Amino acid sequence: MTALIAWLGAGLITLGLMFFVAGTVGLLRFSPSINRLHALTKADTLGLGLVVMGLALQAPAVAVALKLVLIWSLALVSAALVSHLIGQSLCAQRRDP
Amino acid sequence: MIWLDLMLVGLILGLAWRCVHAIELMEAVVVFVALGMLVALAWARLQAPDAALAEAAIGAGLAGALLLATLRQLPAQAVRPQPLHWLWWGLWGLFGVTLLWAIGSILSTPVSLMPWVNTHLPEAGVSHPVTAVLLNFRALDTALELAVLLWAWMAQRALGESPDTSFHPVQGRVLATAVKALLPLMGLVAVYVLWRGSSAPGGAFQSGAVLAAAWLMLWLADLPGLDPRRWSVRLGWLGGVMVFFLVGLLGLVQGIGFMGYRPDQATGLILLIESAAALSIGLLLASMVLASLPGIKGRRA
Repeated sequence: MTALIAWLGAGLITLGLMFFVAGTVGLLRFSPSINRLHALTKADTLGLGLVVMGLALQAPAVAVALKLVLIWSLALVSAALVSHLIGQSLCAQRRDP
Repeated sequence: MIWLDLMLVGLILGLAWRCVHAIELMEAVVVFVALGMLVALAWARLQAPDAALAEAAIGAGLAGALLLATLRQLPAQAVRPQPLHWLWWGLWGLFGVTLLWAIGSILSTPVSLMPWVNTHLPEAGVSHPVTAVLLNFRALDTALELAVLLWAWMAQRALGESPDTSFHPVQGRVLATAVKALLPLMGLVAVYVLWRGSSAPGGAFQSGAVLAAAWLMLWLADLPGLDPRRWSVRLGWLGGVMVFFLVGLLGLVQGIGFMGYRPDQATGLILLIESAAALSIGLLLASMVLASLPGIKGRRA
């Protein structure tokens, strides 16, 4: 059972890392900033979420797993906030050049 | 693990080179922030979580914000790379060789002060060796660090005119609501990091950085924050250094010498100094960034 959970955790982390790689490639390759934001949120939300889920499965105690989830939720809030602010700044730039 | 460490070292050196060689200042700032995060990782790998926390919060976070805010005020221009005179190459080469030699001579004579710290830890008033060194055994160094921060802020105040550029306020209530929701959490983290500092990594500088971030977010969301014209804020700038030196004088009065604490009072005194220092550091760091930010268009005065 523990071996199965360890493998499941490793699989989730690997999947999360793939999202991070995809998000990074998108951030580097896409050109308008809105599209870059779109690529970045994949890494932030899904990538970090999967990594946290994988780590939480391997956590030694429930408290540690809950702390990891707390970190993820804080990252979610800040990612949404930052994306919103960058989007607003882009709109403002378009309005008055 | 050695491969990960070598990769980290390579990345740090590469980013440092890139930061110095960037033609666009914006790129240099972004690379500097990334460099700060990697240096924080390196500190963590060297098992110095105190330094890692401070580097991530202040070196990468607040210094990055300060640099970005300053960048907005500079006229848009790229730094033109100029060929260096051979004399400079020789001078800096000599400096580098001397530095390498100095580092080599350090490595050949390893002296650990850890046994000494551990034997005196019971009378230090705190159980975390780093805090014991910073606020008890070498308290004067920490007090001078605080004084340097205060001095930097005074110099910036003396130099700085408030910038006359301005930017649009944020539309909608997303930022304000998020800041209102996050502020209690940030206050909690700041107090926790300060309190934990006596027995585990943490302390005044880390706690002050969190406080500074909280204050900056208040300002950016256009919520009523701390007005730098208020006397309480001005006293807060000076508070850390003043409390530190007053406690130092107390030791002189008690006959233990400047900055000496009686072992039975050490815990309380260190906590007092750390609280005042964290507030001061938070106020000073936030004021530095705020002073270099342009005003918001049409905001209430």
